[in-house]
Amino acid sequence: MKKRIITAILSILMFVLMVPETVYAEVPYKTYTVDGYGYVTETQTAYTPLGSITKAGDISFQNPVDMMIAEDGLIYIADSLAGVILVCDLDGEYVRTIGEGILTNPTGVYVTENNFVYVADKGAKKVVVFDENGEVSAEYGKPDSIIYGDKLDFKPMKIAVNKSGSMYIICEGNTNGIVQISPVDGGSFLGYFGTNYTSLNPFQILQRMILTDAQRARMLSNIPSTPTNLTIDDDGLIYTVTQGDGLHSLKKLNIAGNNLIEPDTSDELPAAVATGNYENIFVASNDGYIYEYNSDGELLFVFGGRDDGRYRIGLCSKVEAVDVDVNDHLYVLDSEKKQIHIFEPTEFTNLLHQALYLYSKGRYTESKEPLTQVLSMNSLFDYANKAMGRAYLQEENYTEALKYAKLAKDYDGYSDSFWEVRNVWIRKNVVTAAIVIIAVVLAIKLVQYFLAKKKWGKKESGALKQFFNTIFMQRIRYGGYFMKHPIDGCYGVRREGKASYLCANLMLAAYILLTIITKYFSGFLFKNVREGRYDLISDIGTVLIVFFALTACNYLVVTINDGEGRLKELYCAYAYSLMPYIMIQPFLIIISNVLTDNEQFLIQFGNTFIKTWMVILLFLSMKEINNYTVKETIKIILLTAFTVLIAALLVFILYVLFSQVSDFVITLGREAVYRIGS
Amino acid sequence: MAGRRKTKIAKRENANRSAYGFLAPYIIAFSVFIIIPIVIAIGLSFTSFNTIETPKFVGFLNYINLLTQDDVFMQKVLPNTIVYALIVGPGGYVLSFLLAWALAQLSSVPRTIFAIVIYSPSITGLTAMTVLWRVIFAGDQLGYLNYYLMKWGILDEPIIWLINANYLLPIMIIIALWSSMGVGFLAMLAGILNADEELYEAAAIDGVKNRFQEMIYITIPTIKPQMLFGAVMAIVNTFSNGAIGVQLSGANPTPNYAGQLMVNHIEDYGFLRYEMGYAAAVSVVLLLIVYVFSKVAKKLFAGD
Repeated sequence: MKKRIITAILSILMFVLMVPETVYAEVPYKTYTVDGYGYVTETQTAYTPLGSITKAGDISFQNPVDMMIAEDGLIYIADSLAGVILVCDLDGEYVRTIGEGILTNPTGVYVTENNFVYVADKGAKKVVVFDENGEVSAEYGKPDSIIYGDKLDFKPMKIAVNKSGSMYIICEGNTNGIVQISPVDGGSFLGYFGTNYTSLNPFQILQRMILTDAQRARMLSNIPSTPTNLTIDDDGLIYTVTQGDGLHSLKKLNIAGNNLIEPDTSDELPAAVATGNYENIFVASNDGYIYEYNSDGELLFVFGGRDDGRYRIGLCSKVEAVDVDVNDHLYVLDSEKKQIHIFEPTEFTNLLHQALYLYSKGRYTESKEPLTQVLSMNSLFDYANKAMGRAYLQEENYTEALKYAKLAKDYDGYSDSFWEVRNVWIRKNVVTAAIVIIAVVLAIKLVQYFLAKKKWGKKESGALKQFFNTIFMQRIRYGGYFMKHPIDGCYGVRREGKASYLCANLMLAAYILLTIITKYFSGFLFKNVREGRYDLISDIGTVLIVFFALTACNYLVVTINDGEGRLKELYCAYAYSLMPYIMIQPFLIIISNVLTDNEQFLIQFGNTFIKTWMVILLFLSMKEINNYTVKETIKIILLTAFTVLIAALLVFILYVLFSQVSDFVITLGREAVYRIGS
Repeated sequence: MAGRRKTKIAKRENANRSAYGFLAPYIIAFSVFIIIPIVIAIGLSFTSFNTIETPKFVGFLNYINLLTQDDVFMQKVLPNTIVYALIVGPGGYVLSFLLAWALAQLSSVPRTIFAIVIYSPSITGLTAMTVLWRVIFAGDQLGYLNYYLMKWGILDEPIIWLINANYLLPIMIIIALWSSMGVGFLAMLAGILNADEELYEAAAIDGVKNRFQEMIYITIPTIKPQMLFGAVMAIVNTFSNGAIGVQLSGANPTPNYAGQLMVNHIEDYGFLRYEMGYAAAVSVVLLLIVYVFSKVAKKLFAGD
């Protein structure tokens, strides 16, 4: 164990020391990823800033608000102030201008495969379509359909178009969802798409249950938020980002408008979304952070950040759009700095993309090679470990899959591969196991027979009996009786001296030991501490403080409420009430090492059982030791809780006061030293 | 033996003959309909049998396959059965005890009426019961549950309760709890009613203060035999219960095996696939499980 800690520390140190050397010199930001436990950790640079575009030829941007890299390798930029669509190539050389004099306030642009340019014009309240020569080929205004809503305005903000020419339009102030318009008959409204949901808290649900319709109408209405931006991929899936929608801020919608992903991390203020060449998803937040996800919404990288006024390339002030070109370069449009930042993937990222792509296409064996290279660059990159484990799982190499799943903390993958490994073991050993069990049962019967008939081992068992009958052992064994017969048990503790401080302390120690073993040595699937991290002192301390504080406060309350119990009796009874945990938990720990997610309910049932039993014991011992009625016991429990709260407050105040005093003394001392010294 | 005089014991044995005669009808019926089928099932579980050809002896193969090859059994059926039994068994047992105890406090006429009302779900045909519950859990917005949840704004769109793999098992458990006041409930009610009044009076003099104490100190100890009977019945019932999931979802196997219990698994193999040998092996395993749990119940209730 110790060795493992040292290795872990060493590898972290190496990682920390080695990576930044190559990074800090050129990159103005750090790159993060999410590790298997869901913590954000730093990783090596995924993208490096390559350059920026500030002008299309000689024309500088006035207020660029949307950008799209078309199939022909040209960048289309919507400049809302100039009222044009500027077209330039990837180096920033001017190509042409579209819509001069026609557009008033273009806020969204989309270019189809055959170079038709769709522009969402917020000022003109319409969508204008230009053909490949820059001539207007169609215009779509507010839909006439009743379903659209009579009073709703049509202010298109962003637009995406699928292969059949259907337009998905985000409209300002339209909370019904994305407006979907088909080009048939000069634009027919197909309906709202991908509506965001609102959620109700329990109080609001209660309100809705009891209020009348008239009262409800007067309440603040609960309106879903409008998406901020959208994009469409080659398969026709729509990606939307919505600000302030928590984990639903990024959605991947199929043709029916159902969300397919739930990202594990998200930004509060996402501004733009784009899809890469490997089914990866990029989300750029308003303040310059760029998130890369895989196709399932698992976070790969976060990088970038807000510019602090030094105008460094790679840091943004207000991101409006993001897109990817064929070389995997990332283009980020910054409307405040009026420039496009270009990022280039590092070799690490390229390898990862390659592996990702192969994996998503089901070519698991091929994906292992780039993954191995990724892992040789950063063995702590949990996403690669996970993909590796999954690849092995698909190849039915379960022991390897198990290894990588454990490294990656991929609980589902671990559970699946562990199931298979266990299955193989059972298949091999089921007959042997059956024979062994039968043999053991027979052996026990035989030994019992000989013990009874031939009087074997009488002397030894006599000594054993004597040992078991010492007062100490009797008191320990009394725990077993106590948990089955708590009421009689309490009588024994009070009147017959069946318990002692020593035994109670031993039980408490056993309890603490078991909590620690449970925390660190349960099966991988049932553990929620980080591998190789130990906080023994705080673990022991927590249990001790909670137990002592509760007992002490309880005793204080009991003494002024006609309780008959003395401190020793209460302490012993409470410690003995921990017996169910001590008796049952070891079995749970052992089986947790051979169970998968599939059977985890056994552990849950076991835990519920232990807890219920312990609560009943504690309640009964409080009641019986003090000779209370049920009502009085409940009162005492509430009073104890209150006392604990007051005590905690007191400790906190004392702590603050003492830290103030010590601060004061230290400052005084420093002052004195300074005065005398000078 | 022939020449010797009959001993006293032998005479008494002969005298018992008439008793055996009286027992005979039951013993014969019990053997023909229970014991012999069980023995045959155990025998069949070691064979491969498709109901047409003669059974082929395969040794322990069925059992080994059950443990190692049958993913559905290990991943769905066994966990479902255990979850179902662990909740419905003790839950239904506690409920029937509490209800029996509560009913025993009433006077005779309302008690009889309530007893019939509470007992009726367990004798009503399962089909009649599921008709009622299918209305409540109907999958469209006209189902009662969906209607109210949508009215209160908890749901946005109706949930197809009985087809959805996440909800089928919990719904089965709720319905099973509702209908769990069976024979065990009646036995406990009878036990409580027959408890000696004088014990309660004596306890009142000795300082029993309330009904709860009466229940703990007197009622439960006096009706221990009935409680054991109730416990064994509850265990047997929960494990042999299987039709409920199939009735609710209208399909065997249930959607995604979500409500598949061991009995369904046996039916699936026995009467849908006609792998009688394998089905027999599963039922022997079920028998063993029920036996072990009944033993545990006996340990708990049969006194110290």
